[in-house]
Amino acid sequence: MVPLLEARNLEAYYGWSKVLHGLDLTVEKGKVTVVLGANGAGKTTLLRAISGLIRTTGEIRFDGVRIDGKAPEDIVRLGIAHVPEGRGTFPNLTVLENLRLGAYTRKDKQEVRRDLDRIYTYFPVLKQKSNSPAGLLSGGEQQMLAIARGLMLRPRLLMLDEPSLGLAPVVVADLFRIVRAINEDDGVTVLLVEQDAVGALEVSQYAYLLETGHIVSSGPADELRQNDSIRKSYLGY
Amino acid sequence: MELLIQLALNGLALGALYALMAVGFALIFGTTKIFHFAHGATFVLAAYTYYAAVSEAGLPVAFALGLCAAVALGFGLACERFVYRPMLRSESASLTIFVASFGLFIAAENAVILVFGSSYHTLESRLSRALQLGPFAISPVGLCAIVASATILGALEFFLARTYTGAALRAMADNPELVRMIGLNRYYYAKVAFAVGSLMVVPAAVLSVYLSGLSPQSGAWITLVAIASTIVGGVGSLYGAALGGIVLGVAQNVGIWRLPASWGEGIAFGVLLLFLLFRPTGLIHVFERR
Repeated sequence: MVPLLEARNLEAYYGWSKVLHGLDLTVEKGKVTVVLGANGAGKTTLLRAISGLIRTTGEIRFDGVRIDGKAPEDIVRLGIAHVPEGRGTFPNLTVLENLRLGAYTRKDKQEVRRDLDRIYTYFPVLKQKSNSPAGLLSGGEQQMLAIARGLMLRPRLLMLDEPSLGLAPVVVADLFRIVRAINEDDGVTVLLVEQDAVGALEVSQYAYLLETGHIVSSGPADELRQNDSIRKSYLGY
Repeated sequence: MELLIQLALNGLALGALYALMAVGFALIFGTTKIFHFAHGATFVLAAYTYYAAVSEAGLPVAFALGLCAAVALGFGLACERFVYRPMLRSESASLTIFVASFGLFIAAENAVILVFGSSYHTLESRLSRALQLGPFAISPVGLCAIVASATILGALEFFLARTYTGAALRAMADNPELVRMIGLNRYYYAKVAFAVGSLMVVPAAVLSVYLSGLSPQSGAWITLVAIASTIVGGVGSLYGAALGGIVLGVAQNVGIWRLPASWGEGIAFGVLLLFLLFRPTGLIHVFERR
């Protein structure tokens, strides 16, 4: 079976400094794959490279088709939703406007309306606050909105950049539970990038460890959880 | 005291026109981040088109208005399509784009001088004669300026707040990168912003021909006013830009209450300076991002 996303020998630069050093990474259809790494490991850069927001060398294939070098607008149209770290919403737009813009590239208006209803069942708080500006929501609610906005694309691949950043543990647990539900119930493939290894490994089936732009380890999430050195440096027990 | 109110009234009419210019500029700048200095050139071209159509070609006013709108729209869209878009595509720095815009402005101003000369023109109309309202006087043109400005700004507010296109424009202003991540066609919305912003120049240009007359140099002044209003109001806020325009218009008129009339423009920019010193974020705060 062709993997949904495949990167081969991926390199990316910020200015003159190389941030990704020849990554190989595969995301299987229907699974949650996590890329773990500390600050500055290149996690965000990896997602930005896939989205076409920065220039890269090497190959990126989505469902077998080369997407590297394409414009972000065209990559979205293939069904890749990118929920960036932190600022994943339009703060001056209402919750509903944010969600409707998430479906910007879709033409099936009926289905969009149905998806909106379903997304409200995942995130009831967004329905209550559908008319308030996104900027007035709490941090956790904004993160939910950002994910919900990504789902409005009805993506084939949902990429989440550190959804847990700056949120209370209870909220994070909630968020990961929803990510799992989205994956299991809707069959959305997820590529998650995280520092919070404990929660992330729990929702994922496959994991990569990224250190200063190199993949240093990878394997099924269960195995990585058992690995001693990973436990020490990422899980803290 | 009566004089003061009269001056404020005159200032309000002028400020209403400034507001149209300022909001158009702020709309373009906010959504595209293009510092469209040539917005003042749109003003000059539109105003001279109208003047030439009415006074030299003797065309009916409605026809002249249509021509004027076509010129403003055409110039604004051409700037976007043939100058800014290629520059953005090749990832030019914003300063480079500003310089290009400045160049466009100078070229347009000189084209106008070439055709019409650099002297001062004005149009007279029955509507320029003042109406007496108790102790105060206001010309129907001034009244038109206030009503037209209020109507257009109201319509713009509705468009931005209630329509999908409006939401997309606000999204562009909010987070340009996220706009790309949701697949929005930013060039299409840039075109919309330039179209709307440039059309808003039309009433300002036409009414100012009657209200204050016309010279090729008025473009530089009106551009400064638009930029200053945007700053006084608070960059990023269209309400702020409108309010800023009105403040400048009123300051320019009220300022000459006890001073020679030639001080008007100086006083308007004195107000700008005070804002920059004491309230650099402007009259209206856009809410802070994390």
